[in-house]
Amino acid sequence: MLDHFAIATKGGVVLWAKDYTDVTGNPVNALIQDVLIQSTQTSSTKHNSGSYTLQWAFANELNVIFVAVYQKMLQLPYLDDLLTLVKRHFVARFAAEIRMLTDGDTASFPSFDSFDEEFDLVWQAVEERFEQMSKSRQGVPRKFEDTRKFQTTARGAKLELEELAQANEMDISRKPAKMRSWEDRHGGHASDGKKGRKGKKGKENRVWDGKASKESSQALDFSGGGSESEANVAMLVDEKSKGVRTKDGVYEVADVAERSDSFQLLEGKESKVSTGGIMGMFRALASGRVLTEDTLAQPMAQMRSHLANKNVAADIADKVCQTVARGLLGMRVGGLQNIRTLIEQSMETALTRVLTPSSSTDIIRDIDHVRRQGRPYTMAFVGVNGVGKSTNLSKVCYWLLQNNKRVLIAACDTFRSGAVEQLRVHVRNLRALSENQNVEIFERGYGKDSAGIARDAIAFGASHDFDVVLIDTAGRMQDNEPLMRALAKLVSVNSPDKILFVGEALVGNEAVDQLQKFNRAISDFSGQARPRQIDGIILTKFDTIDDRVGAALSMTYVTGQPIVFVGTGQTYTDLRKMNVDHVIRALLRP
Amino acid sequence: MGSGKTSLWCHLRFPATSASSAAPRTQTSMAINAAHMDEGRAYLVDVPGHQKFRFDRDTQLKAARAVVFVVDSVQVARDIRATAETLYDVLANASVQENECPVLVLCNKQDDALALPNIRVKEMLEEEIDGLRGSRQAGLDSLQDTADDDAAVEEKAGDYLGIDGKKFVFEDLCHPVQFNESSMVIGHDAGGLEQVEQWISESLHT
Repeated sequence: MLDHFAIATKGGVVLWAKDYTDVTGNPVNALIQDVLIQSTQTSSTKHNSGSYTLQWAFANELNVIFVAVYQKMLQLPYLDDLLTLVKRHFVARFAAEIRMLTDGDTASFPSFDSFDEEFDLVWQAVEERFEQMSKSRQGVPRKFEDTRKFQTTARGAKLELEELAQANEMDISRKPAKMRSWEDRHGGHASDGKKGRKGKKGKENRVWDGKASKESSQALDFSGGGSESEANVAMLVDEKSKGVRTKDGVYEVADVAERSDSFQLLEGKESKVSTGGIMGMFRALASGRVLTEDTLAQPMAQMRSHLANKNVAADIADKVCQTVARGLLGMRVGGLQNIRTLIEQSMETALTRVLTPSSSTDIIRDIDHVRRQGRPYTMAFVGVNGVGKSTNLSKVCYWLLQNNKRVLIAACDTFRSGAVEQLRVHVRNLRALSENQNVEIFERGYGKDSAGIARDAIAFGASHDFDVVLIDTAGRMQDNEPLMRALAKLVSVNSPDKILFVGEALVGNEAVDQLQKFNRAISDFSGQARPRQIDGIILTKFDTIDDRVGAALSMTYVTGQPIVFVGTGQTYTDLRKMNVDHVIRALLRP
Repeated sequence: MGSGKTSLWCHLRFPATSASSAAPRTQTSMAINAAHMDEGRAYLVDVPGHQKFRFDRDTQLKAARAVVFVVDSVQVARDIRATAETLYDVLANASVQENECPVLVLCNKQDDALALPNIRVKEMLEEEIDGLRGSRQAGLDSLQDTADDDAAVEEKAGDYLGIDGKKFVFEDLCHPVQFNESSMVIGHDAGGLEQVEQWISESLHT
C-alpha cells in the first residue's frame, strides 16, 4: 500500500528508506522544493504530487523528516499513527547517531539498516490496531426490530401499544394513586424540608419602605469607585515612551530610539523558571526546557500582535506565527538561551525565506532572452483602482529607456476618463527626457475592448521592432465579476510574459483578498488548461509608510511571487529594487 | 539544486565510508549541513541550492575562505541561466571578492554518459556571465535605509565581473577559479574527490 517511506535529515541525507515498488519521478524532492521550503505551510501534512500523495512529519529537535509516499487514489487513514509511532521509535533508537552526523568526529557514516525489522513490526502493529478499531465500531448489525425505523411502521406502533398496555396493566394492579394529604407530603419529610430551606435562602424581595438598613445602603452606593478609574488612566499612557518637556514647557514627543542589533522586541516577564531558589535555577540551566505549545503560546501571541501593528494582514500574521511555532515544537531550549531569542531568530529566518524570491527578478535578462525569439516582451499591469498603475508603468518605462530599450505603451484602460491622455502626457515627458526617443503610445480611444487593443499593440510592436510592450489596464475591484472576466480574457488572449500586480503599501488586510481574488479570477475565467497566475508584485507608495511594511509580507505570502519593483515617489526616478534585508529589519524593529 | 552538494559533503565528512561503499542517498536539502571534516582540517558548510536559501548562502559566504561550486554536468545545458546566475552571485559577493576566496567549480556527475566536459561547461558559463553582467549593471538601485548614493555606486561597481569592454573569462577575476571534474560514483575514473580534498587543503593553507 505504501510505495515508499523515507527518513532523512533536513540537510538532505537519507538515513533510512524503504521502497516497496519503483517510484517514478522524484516526489519527495518535489515535495521539499514546492511545499516544505516555501514557508507557506498550511496545517495539513498531506500533499499531492503527480500520481502520489505524500504525508510527512518532523522531528524538530533532531532536524529529521519522515515522509510516506503512496498512490493518490488510496486512502490510508492509519498513516498519521504510523508516522507518529515510527518517529518515536526512530528517535528513541538512533538519537545519538543522528547527532553524531553533525557534531561528532566519526569518520564513517552510521548505518541505520537495523531499523528494517522495527519498522515492519511497527507497521503491523498499526495495521492490526486499526483493523480492531474499525471492527469494534461496526459490531454486529442491529436487528430490524431494534431500529427507530421500525417504531414508525404500523407493526412497530402496534407493538408499542401492546407494551404500553402491559405496563398499564401492571399499574392497574396496584392501588389507584391516593390523593396524598398535605401533611403526608410535607410532614413526613419535615426534617428534610427544613434542611433544604435553610440551605437555600432563595431570592429575597427588596423592601422599599423608606427604611434602608446600613448594610443595604452601603451596597447600593455606586458613586465614587476612585481606585478603579485611576488604574484605567495609567493604562492609557505608557510611561516609558513619554516625551520630554523642554524648558519652555513645550511637550516634545520622544525620539524614535536607536535600537541595537539584538532587538528585544518581546517584552514581558522573564520566562518562568521553576521556583526552587538556587537549585531550581541550576536545574533549569542544566536540563533546558522542551518547547511545547503552551510555552510558545504567549510569545507567539506577542509576535502576532507586533506583526499586526506593522500592517501585516491578520491571517497572514497568524499563519506565519503558526509555521514558526510548529517548527519550534519539541526543540530543547538550552538554559542560557532564551525562548524569546530563539523565536526571534526563527521568525527572522521564516520571514526572510518568505520574502526571498524563488525565481530571478532580472527583467533585462528576460527581455534579452525573449528578444532572441524575435518577439517583444510584454508586461501587463493589473490592480484595483487608484494604486498607481499608470504612474509606475511610466517609471518602469523610464528605466527601460535608460537601458536603451524600445518601449511601446498600450493604453488598454478604455474606461477611466483621461487615462489615455495621462499616458500621452507621460510619453511626451519621457520622450523629452530620453536622448533617443524610443517610446511610443498605442491607443484606440475609449470604450473599446482592451483585449483587442492589447493584441493589436503587440502585433504593432512586433512589426515595428519594439523591445518591450507595456500594457496599462483599467483599475477594477476584485469583486467585480464582469471586469475580472475581461481581465482574464486579456491575459488569456495575449499571454503576457509578466503579469504584474500593482498594490499599494498602505493596504492592510485587503491585500490578501485582492490578490486571492485576482489570482482566482485570472485562472478560473481563462478557460485554459494551465492558466496563468500573477507573476510579480509592484509595491507602490512605499514612501508613505515608514516602518509599517507589513503589506510586502502579506502580498508575497499570498502569491508566493516576488516583489519586483518598489515605487517610492511620484517622479520618474522613484523606482527601486526590493531589499529583503531592509524590509525584515523594518518588520522586526519594535 | 540537485547537483550533488550534499553527496559531496557526505563524502568529505565520512571518508571511511566513502572508501568502501557509495555515499548515502541524498534528497533535496532544506537545511544547511555543517560539520568539521575529519581531523578538523576544515569546516564544511553545505548550503541548499534552492533559491530561497540565497540569504543563507550570502551569510555563509561572509565567513568562507574557499568556495566549492558544484555543477550538474548533465543538466547544465538546460539550467545554464540559473546556474550562471548563482555562480555570478557567488563571484560577485562582496566578501568573496574582498578575501579573494579561491573558487573551485566542480563539474559533477561525470559518470553519466551525457555529461559535458569541464572545458565546455566553462565556456558556457563564461558566455552567460558575459550577458549577465550587463543586465546586472542595468538593474535598479535597491531600497536603502539611508539615501547613501556612494554605497550604492560601490555595490554596483563591485558587481561587475571581469574587465570592462573585454569578453568575460574566468582568468580575469582576481581570485583563482579552478574547474575540475568529479563523480560521486565509486570506482569511476574521474573520481576527482582526492583532487577536491587536495584543493581544499591547498586553498586553506595559503
